[in-house]
Amino acid sequence: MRALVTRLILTLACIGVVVLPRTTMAQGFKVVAHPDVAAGELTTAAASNIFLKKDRKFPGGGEANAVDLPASSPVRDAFSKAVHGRSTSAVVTYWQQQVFSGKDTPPATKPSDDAIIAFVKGTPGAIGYVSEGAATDGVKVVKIK
Amino acid sequence: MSREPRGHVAAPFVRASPFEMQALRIVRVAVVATSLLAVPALSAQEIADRMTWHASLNAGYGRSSDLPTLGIPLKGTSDYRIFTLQTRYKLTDRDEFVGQLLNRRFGASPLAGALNDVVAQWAYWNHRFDIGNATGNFKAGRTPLPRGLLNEVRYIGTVQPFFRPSMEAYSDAFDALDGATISLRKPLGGFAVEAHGFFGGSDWRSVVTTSTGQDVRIQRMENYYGSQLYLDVPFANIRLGAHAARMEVRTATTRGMMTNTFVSAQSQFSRFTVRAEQSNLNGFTPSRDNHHKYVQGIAQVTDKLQLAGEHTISRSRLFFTTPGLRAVLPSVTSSGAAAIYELAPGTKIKFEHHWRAGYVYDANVSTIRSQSTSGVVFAPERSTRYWIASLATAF
Repeated sequence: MRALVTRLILTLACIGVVVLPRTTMAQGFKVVAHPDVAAGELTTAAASNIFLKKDRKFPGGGEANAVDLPASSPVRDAFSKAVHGRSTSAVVTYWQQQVFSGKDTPPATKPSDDAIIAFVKGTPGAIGYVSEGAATDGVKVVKIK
Repeated sequence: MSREPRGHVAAPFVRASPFEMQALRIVRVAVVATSLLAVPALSAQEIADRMTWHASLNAGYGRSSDLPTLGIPLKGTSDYRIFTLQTRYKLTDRDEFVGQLLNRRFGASPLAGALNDVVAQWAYWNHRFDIGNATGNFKAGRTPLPRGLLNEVRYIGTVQPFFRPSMEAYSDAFDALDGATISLRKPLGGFAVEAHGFFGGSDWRSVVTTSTGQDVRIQRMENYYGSQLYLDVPFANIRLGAHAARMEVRTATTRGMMTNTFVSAQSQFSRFTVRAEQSNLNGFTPSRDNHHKYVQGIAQVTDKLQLAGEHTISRSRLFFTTPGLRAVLPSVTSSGAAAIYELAPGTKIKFEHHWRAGYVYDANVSTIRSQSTSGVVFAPERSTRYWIASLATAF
């Protein structure tokens, strides 16, 4: 009987490890922009409005072109919670509401830090975010306050 | 099932003025020139880059306990589904074509027979413009109709706690507008004002109980005009809305004007969302006066789990030939509770249970027990419970 209970507990533990959602370690991020973007820092509200396309221009002027990491990215989750004040899931739901009400489409998604950097470097007005340790040669790091 | 004629009246032939002829010629030339010059110059890759696709599925199984309602019979139905497929083609940074196909299955509802398997829910051209720090859109064709908080996303399960928004408040009506919409959103400090104006025509599908059974009516509303205003408040994500529209109803035997108003309030704070709306529909020579209201609350219990509750009240004024005789029918009183679990961002499963009382079902129920010159006695309210298990996903 004891062996059976032990086996059951081990099996449930294995299922928990494999199937149940794991808590991700909090990851840092930094916001990067095309070198021509004038803004050196943004408030969280201004950054949130740009990434949610509520504002299409930077506070100092100039068209903004936001780019996101995929919804599964822990860096995006950290960014969503810090800047939008909500989870990535809530932001995905926000974009579904925008798309299916005919209002707007979400920013382009790039699969990795490198792809974000390449896009931001080559696109005037582009703004994105990458993991804290990513190399940011050729782009401007924007401080979020 | 009988269908009322849509009230289309053959328009008399009107000769266009020289100015109109000239304008038409210019538009034709511009369209042809754009087609010839723009499209062949694009490679297949460029065309693919200009196109985006989105889809949503809201599929469920429902069962009712005592009376069939909202398409859900006593024996249960899995023929309960809403699928949309949206495509956008970007012409320029400011112009795009948007089309959305809709496949809707409505179980055993009498309305199910009036729904085509696939319809073009939307087909419009969208032009974006800026005025100062305000952003605007002009849409022409078959466009979304801004009406209350949820009209445009009424078929999208992932953004709703229940299978659909309150059917009493939104009706099976006005889900698109054949015409034009102009919208402007202006930030004002932390506030934002959003204004929409529209003109065109729309459809209203309803089930009417008669002495011989239930009739499905599809009425065409023309000269439909009005506006929707929203105010976003920088506190607790409050959104306030007001909508007013007038429309002309034409059938083979009647003609008149109707008015639809919506008052909305929504707040999202901490882990809670609360919204409430009231809709009034009245007029039409003037034998219609319906009032619907609902309040809905959603609690984010964990990152994956939400719980929701909703209460709806619908009242209809009845008109009689006896002078001075009026009565207000408590047509629907409904409460619902739902548990929503997120499988992945954009994919949810829901289980909802509703308690419904009143006189509006997919079967005939008695409304009036007796009527005299002094008043009306209603028959006892009937009630049922129904539940829906559903999967909602979108990308």
